[in-house]
Amino acid sequence: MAIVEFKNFSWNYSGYRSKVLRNINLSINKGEFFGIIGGVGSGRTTFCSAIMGLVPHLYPGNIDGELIVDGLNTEKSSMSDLSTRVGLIMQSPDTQLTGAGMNVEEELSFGLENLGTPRKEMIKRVKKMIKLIGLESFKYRNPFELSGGQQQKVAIASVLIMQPEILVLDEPTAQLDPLGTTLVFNLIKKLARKGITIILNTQKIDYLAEFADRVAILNDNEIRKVGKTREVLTDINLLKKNRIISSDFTQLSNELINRKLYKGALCMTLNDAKEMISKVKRG
Amino acid sequence: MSEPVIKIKDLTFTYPAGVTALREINLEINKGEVLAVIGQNGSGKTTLVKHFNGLLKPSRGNVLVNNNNTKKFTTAQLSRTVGYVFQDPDDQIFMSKVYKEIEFGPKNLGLKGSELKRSVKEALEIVGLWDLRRKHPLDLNLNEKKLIAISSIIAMKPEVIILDEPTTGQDHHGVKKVESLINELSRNHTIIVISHNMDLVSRVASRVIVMYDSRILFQGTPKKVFVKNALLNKTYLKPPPIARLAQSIKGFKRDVLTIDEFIDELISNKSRSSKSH
Amino acid sequence: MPRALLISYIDKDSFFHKLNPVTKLVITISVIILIFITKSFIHNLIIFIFIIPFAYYSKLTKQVFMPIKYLFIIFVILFVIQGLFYPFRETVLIQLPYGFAIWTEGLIYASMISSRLLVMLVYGYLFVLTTHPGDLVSALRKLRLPYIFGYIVLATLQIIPRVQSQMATIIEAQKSRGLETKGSIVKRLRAYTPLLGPLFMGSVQNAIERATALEARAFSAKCEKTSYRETIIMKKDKVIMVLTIICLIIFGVTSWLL
Repeated sequence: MAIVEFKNFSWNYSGYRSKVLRNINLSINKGEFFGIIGGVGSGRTTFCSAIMGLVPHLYPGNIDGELIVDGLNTEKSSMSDLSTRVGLIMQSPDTQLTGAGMNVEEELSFGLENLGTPRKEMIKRVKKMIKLIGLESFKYRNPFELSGGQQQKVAIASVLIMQPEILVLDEPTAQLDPLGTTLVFNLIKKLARKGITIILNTQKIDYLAEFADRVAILNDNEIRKVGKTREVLTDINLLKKNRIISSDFTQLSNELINRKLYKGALCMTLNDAKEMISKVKRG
Repeated sequence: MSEPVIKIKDLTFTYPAGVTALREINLEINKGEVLAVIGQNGSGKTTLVKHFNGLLKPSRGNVLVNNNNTKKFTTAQLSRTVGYVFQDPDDQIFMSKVYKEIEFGPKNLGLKGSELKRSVKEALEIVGLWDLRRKHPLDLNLNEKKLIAISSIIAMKPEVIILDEPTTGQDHHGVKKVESLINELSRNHTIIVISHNMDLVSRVASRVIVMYDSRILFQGTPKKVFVKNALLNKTYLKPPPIARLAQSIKGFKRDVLTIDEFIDELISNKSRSSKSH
Repeated sequence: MPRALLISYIDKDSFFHKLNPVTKLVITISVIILIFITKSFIHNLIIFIFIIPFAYYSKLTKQVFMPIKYLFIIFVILFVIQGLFYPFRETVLIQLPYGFAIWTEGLIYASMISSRLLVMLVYGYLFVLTTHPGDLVSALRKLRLPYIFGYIVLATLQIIPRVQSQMATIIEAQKSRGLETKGSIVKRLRAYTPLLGPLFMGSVQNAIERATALEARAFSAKCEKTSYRETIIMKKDKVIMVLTIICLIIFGVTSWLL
């Protein structure tokens, strides 16, 4: 069942003639883990913002076609209606904190306050969310004083608490250190297992290789390919054409095939590669 | 190796708020090195390199740049010798033309006329932005903005160039470009690079310093550093993908970092095991 | 430094902390009204001394007096200027050379102003120290003040330090490009463009991102808002508010008559 549906969707910012998204046709299913890859300036961030309704509600411009998110037409629905259906996480951990909370609990409750959720319900959900995200020891700390990785977890929790069906993550780990990156990806994995639809834009294709169901390539503001993760990420020529460098494991298996040391499918993950090497060693 | 460019003796640094970010650091950085500094945020990497161009002055101990104590010089004076490219290009870009942005540094150093023109031109050509010199910097993409930031330091012709997380916000090609740029610059400069990208570090660095809890935990060539899994685990760092694969295979050399090395090792491993049978 | 003074809430388990922010606001405002009714700085000093039990019961005896050091220079200036040039001077206290003199009325006037500043500072600071900003916002919201007003106050206080640290980074980045920020006034003025350009662009970018984050949390939802932090006006709050106003009247009238 499609939960996000782009129907011939195009967008240009006011004052710019060129389109930042061009004729996007795509449907993402409920519960799917969907990856977006592409180079800088390919339109990935606009793609993510569109699902949250930032286009056209926050940025002025023109839409052609339509985008349906959990039954709502993004152009015709308000962002506060969309915010209970979609959670958006952006790159910079710091600017996603609203400043309305003096500690993590209060930052988490901010969205619920705005929706007029009764206080009892709010307390219940905050408690549950803090447990789910693993922030117990930080709940009374000022979110601005946490590490980037922890801040990003707070940001995820504070949109998740509004119980959206869909979580859109726009390069959530681009500004984090390796530890923060691991924390955030582990959390995303956990949420995916709980059945939340995940749409993840990232440069870290090794992570997508392990977790994504499908991957789309955006290049020059158009979708160039949508397919099963393995099909897309092991297509070295396709990736190269779209200025994406395939994973080291894929390159290694390709090189072994070229040197006639290995016959078989291209690798994508560390486990694939381990299997491949044991095959090569055996014979 | 020749005389060190930067000598750090018993450096301890405490921020005014009372947090000690560096404890008893001793380090010599040699001419022509590509030194990578790795570790989690908060381990002291940036605090350390900010001492190299005098942005921070030691609370205890000394930092010598070409035998000059940084305590006696301003950052502007030290910028002739040590260039520092900050992580976010948006923290420095303020001119309306790429060309003018690059001019800013060398002009501050007093360069004029044809000498100024020559260094700006060279700096733009090295990073490949000469054709974009009349553009507004804010119209460029993230990859190009990063190159502007690097170029604006190259134009000042410092002996040492510090790159603070040069691959943040870059796509795959941006990362490749930074990598080849480091290799090219290392022919005439000493390079210090802070990075979370172990792939990049394993390919460009001649020496790696691992920072942990305000100290240098250990250091060595990438081949020596990326096999110390127990120590790396302590700092939550992981070796690059190919090294992890090699380390998981029985009978393999552990210090394999690149695809080519991996294939060579695979071939020699196969011939070793067929001999033993 | 503005940050240290503005959001310096210190969490303590005290009677004063547990009062409703509105009650504390009533006390603080009453004290401020009172010091403008009094005619003698001695009365103000008595009111000032009354901060000691308040501070003691808030478990913040030392902290309350911390910001006084920032007033010190102002006091010196006040006493010098008023002592020498107070317009309604009549009585010479000390005759100085070149026709200057220190005037008694000037010193009294300076003491009056200084003591008012002193009282406002410590009582205001005690209010800030013992009142959680979130509670204040929530209490003001209950008084039907516009919701957005509370957010702006709190968020501004929290975001000021971010802007400061961004400024620090920009200064460092430009110093690394040979910019001298110290020296003659011309040099300093010249340093402005390279610093303010990136700061302005960065602030605009941050504002857009923060606006996005707010929208993602249904900030503009048109419904009755609720509060996570609960602020109830309890019996003791009512009692204290009534007592405060009675005290205000008694002290005010006596001080006026004396």
